[in-house]
Amino acid sequence: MKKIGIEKINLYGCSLYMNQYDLALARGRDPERVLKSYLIESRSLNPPYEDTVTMAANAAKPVLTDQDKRDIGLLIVGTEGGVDFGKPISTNLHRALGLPPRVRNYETKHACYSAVAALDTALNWIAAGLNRGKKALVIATDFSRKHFRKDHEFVLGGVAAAVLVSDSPRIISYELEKKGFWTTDVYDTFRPSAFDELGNNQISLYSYMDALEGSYLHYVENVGDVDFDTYFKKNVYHMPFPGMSFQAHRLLCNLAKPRKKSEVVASFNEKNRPALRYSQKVGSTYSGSNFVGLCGVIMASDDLHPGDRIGFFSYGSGAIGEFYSGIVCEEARKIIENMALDDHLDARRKVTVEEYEQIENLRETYIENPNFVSDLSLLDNWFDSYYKGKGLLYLKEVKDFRRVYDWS
Amino acid sequence: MTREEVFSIIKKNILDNLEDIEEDEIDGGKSMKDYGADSLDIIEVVSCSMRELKIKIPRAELSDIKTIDELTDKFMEYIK
Repeated sequence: MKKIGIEKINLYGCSLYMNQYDLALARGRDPERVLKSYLIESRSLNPPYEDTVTMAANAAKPVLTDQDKRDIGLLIVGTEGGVDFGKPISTNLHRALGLPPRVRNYETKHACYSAVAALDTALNWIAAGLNRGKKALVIATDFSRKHFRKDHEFVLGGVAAAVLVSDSPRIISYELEKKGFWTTDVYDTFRPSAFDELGNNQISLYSYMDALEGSYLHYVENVGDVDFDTYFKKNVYHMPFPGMSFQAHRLLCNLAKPRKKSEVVASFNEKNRPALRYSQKVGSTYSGSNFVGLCGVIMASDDLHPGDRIGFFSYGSGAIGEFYSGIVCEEARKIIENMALDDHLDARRKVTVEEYEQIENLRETYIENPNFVSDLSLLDNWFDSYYKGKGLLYLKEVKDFRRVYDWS
Repeated sequence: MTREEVFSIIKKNILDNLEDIEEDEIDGGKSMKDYGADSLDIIEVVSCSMRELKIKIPRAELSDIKTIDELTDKFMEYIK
């Protein structure tokens, strides 16, 4: 079977962040406990003149050459934060990125699984040979809604990930025949309106664990003899918040062979902790989770080599779990290094809890608002210092519900 | 296995996973949250207990359970 996988990858972790320590203090919670339980440092935040379209464009633009744009035949965008119930944001992105008309495009939805569903379609399209030599651009883009003073306020965030999928993978090639699935019908987290993002932590965590166990056992059944401890060099799990990754690894460790917590911690530190590198800074990773984990595990693992296998688990509320795997390519680290992800995240502006609340309150006035011009002056003209002249996409205005984007 | 034995396995896992709590303090009529457990702690207590009891219950079925007694009763259904 020919190799198919990710040729290029990039993340966009917004232009603002808030420290979770500050939020915990402001909400009267023990900051040390919050940081330890959720394994988080900070969360990304968008100014109101960014949305899932701008995030996606800002993730994709740096990786695409003019030749790449000519080579793309399929554009799929996974999100649970689309800005229209009918028109897919892939069309906004098609224009913004300057792609040619002979491109099939659509948006996928399945909570945090949406982009892995998109990836799977892209991989199979190429594997079937129906791509006629073309490549696929898959983008994951999501950010949280307003959740002041709710229990899950510590597990919010936002990030976009763009991956160019082709039969010339340079980062990871996927083992298409090795997969496991698990599906159920549950209301764990869901977005029933343009304003709401509802959920029940306990139901969601239980459902996640069921999906992980169910899809992993299906993977093992399909693949055959799998020794969890040796088959995967590293593991990447869906990260609604980074701390969940530890619970996930703990479950699979004990499923393979019951062991003491200290042994689980040692295995986690070796095989999974590196995957948390970027999620600890952006917070909840939504549909981009597996890509954020992939970048982290490649950049933070000195013992990960070309040819090594990574096990992935994707979870989408609602719910689905999918367990799959891929093999690290020769140039993976060099290519991701060139994206300077740490520099990008370090360049974000820190906001206070008060500023975060102001931003979310302003953003709320933009939702379902047919006419407005984005306020670019907030946060001491952050637009002028971070965006202006940098070629980043932003939402300029909305006229009769039509969204107008522009490059800064 | 008796109900008492199931209860003591859950209790042991609560003691293993939570801090600053004595065995005598644990009251079946209370929720683990009353003893400072967060959502992740509860998941771990449930997973460890199921493993020890050699039972498999879809975890989503446990989401409405409020007290340790209710959890014990649910486990008993699967042990029988």
